[in-house]
Amino acid sequence: MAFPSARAARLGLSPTGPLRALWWLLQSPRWAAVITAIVAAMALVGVVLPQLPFWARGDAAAEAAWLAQQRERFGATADWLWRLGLLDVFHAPWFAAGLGLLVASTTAYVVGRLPGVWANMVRPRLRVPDSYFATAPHRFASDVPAEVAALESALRRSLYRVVRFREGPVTYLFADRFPWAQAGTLLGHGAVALFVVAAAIGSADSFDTALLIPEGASRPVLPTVASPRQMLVRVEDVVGRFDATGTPLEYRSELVIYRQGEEVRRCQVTVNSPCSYDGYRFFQAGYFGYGADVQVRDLVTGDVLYRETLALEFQRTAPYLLARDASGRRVFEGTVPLGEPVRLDLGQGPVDVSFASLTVGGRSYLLGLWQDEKGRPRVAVASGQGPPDVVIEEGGRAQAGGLEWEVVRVDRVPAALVQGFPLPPDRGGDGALLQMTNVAYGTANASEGGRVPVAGLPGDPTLYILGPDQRPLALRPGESARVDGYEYTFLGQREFAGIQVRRDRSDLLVWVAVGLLMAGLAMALWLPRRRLWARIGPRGTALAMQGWPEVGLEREMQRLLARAGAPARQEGGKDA
Amino acid sequence: MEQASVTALWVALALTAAAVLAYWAYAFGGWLSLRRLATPGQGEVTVAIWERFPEPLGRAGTWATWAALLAMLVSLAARWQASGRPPWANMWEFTAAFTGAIMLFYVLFERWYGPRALGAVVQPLVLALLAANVAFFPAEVRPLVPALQSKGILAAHVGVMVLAYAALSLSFGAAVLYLLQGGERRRFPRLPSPDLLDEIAFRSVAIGFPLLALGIALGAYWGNTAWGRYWGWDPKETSALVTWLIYGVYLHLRGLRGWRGARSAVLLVAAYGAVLFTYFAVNLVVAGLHSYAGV
Ligand code: HEM
Repeated sequence: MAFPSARAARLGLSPTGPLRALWWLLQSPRWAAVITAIVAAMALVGVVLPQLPFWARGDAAAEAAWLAQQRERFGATADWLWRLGLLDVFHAPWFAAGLGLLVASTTAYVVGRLPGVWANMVRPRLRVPDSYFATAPHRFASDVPAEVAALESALRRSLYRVVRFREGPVTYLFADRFPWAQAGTLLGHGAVALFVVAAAIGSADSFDTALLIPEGASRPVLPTVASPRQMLVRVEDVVGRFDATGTPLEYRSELVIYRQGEEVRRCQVTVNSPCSYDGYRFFQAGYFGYGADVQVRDLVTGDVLYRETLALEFQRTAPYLLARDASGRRVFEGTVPLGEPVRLDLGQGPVDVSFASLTVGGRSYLLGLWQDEKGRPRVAVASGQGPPDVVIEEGGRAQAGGLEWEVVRVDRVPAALVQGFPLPPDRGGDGALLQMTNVAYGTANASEGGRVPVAGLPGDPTLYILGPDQRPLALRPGESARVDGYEYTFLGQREFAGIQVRRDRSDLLVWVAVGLLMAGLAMALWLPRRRLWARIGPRGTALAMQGWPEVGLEREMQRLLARAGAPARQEGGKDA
Repeated sequence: MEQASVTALWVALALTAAAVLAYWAYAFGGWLSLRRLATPGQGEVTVAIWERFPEPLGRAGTWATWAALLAMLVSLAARWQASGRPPWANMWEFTAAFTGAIMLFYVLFERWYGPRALGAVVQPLVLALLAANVAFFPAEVRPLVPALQSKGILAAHVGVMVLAYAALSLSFGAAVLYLLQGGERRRFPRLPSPDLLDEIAFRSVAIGFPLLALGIALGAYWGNTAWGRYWGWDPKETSALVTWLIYGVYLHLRGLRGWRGARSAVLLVAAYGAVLFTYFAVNLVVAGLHSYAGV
């Protein structure tokens, strides 16, 4: 579209031979289409095929596990997809190469066109050879000489700037409109290059870490613990609210940030409003509602041996039972957490049975829970040493040991197996099973509960610790139990905040690039730039026009001629 | 109010169906009767009334489209009232807003450029989208998950995306008509000239392309405040970028010799495939952060 003179404007350091050919190739719209299409196709692969998730990156075990999953899906194909980088497109070298070429081409285009565009803007070519009126791709002619003044004023009204000169009987006009809009093209293309470069720098330099922090605890942010820039994030309070269907409504956390022992920032973060300090931004990225704050003390020395907020991340089944005596009075009601399952053969092949012992009215009962061959839960109640008295289905009731037992339902309660949990010295084993009943997922009183498991009766949560003693320790918040010189205390249910800490110093540059891109696009696409040459002689009028976007040029010339009293006779171009 | 928005959408659907019939009769009716006249061996030629009076039919199509647009605006306003947020937060609302925006651009283009025949492609598209909406997507107002509870930027992002896709829908309509027309062969006398169709296609891309860039950028800005990264190669955002790049390819090629006309039109049809893919397939098939916007 550029006029030959603009095209001829070369760089001072004009390369020669193949280099020059490459230089022109990189700037051509055909090549632009090719490289843009290539980048688009590569990105499309990344949309269609599953991509290595961010959490598996750099963690060999997680990566292998993820790849194994893909093998299940794609079979052996997964391996060569992986080797080609097709399962991690956006980190593959060939993708970087494609983007690099895009940047090189847009840069070449901007640099190569700059002199020509500059010349068009400040020193437009006022006069074209007469032959151009007969050959221009967009031209119009009339056998009638146009009224020069009328033509000029029609042009001015359409925001053209007009230059007029005479040569003998012939009047020449040059008119242009929005000549500087061409700079928008360069601005837009430069912005594409700037954007990619800024983003690449940003991702090379960025810092990103995820911390899971319970209420009341703090964690260091930087991997180098002793760094002078080290910060400590303390989570004072975490709130998660849910509606009756379990859909989250709100997550928020109260944070305090310390540096070198000093409090430097105190703020609230929600999902869409992070907190910033020293270029680092703290995001609410996750929420977990089942935490138990537990302390173990040695009663002999008085030392606290253990103090942790434990995340009860797994779920265990636990029957919710009701027992009535002969007079129909309720003597027991509640969720009964069970121990580790034991594999037993109950006659129809091996099943995993979990047991609990329960004392009701001074008498001991043994409970067992398993799933039958159809996956339905079964609860057995034994009142003596021998085989169970009865086996009850969910919702059923039966007599055992003088009581009527009802399995109201089978709950799932949050649980964790904790290795290294301190046990009294003469207890075997090296861990404890923790389960919590009577809890709602979500901040108490704020959530409507519903689909999220609420186990037990209204009231305080209860933590069951299996391991330190023969029988589970059942503790309400603030309660302690003493076993062989150790004191186990449940300090209360806590929530966890997933806090993502990030720093990306390329932000500003990226937004500058976006701003330039938008400005460039608006200038290039919404301001139709035009250059018009007119030759008005005694025997008629000839117009030639260049412009971008290259649409409607003929229509515009026809309209101008009509205004200037010269009925049009179309010569070049296509539509009228 | 929630019910009112659903009812108004049904009204819009019915009006759109009427518009489709009117536009088809207008655009292709005369052609059918010509074909019949040209068929040898037919003793008596009956020319249906809709073949003889195309102009009133075209006008009827225009009126029905304006009425459908109005019904859609009522539906969206009622929705906004009912949910207290801009009505494009789930698939149902997004599709409703999308169809409304397509019709808005369409009536504007019809006013600027004159040809009614574009409605013969655009209105069936609107009809299909509305039908898919009532058939597949649940219409209740539901609370938003925390990640989507950002009013300003998020609403602006989605709103601009809707407008961008709507503008690009017109380029699809123009390209389809161009191909139906057979380029310079001008198969249908009542369809606009190929050059005008080419121009309309370009103009709608010239509107949609920068809007798409703005929409993607607003999405990135929002991602930066919500998740701390402006770009994460999430399938939805990547797919939108791919769509944008394809229209970029079109902008570079359409001026070149050999790419004028039919080839550009084919490219535009393919590019619109990318729009629909980004819009539907990524939400429904490919999982990602955006898929929690739900159906
Ligand atoms: C890869 C290197 C690129 C080169 C060498 C290049 C070159 C060009 C050229 C020569 C034109 C003028 C076309 C004409 O006269 O019709 C143009 C227009 C255009 N290009 Fe590019 N381009 C490149 C990349 C891109 C990219 C990645 C985009 C964004 C997707 C883009 C967006 C545009 C737009 C929107 C136009 C039309 C409006 C304008 O003139 O600015 N270009 N490009």
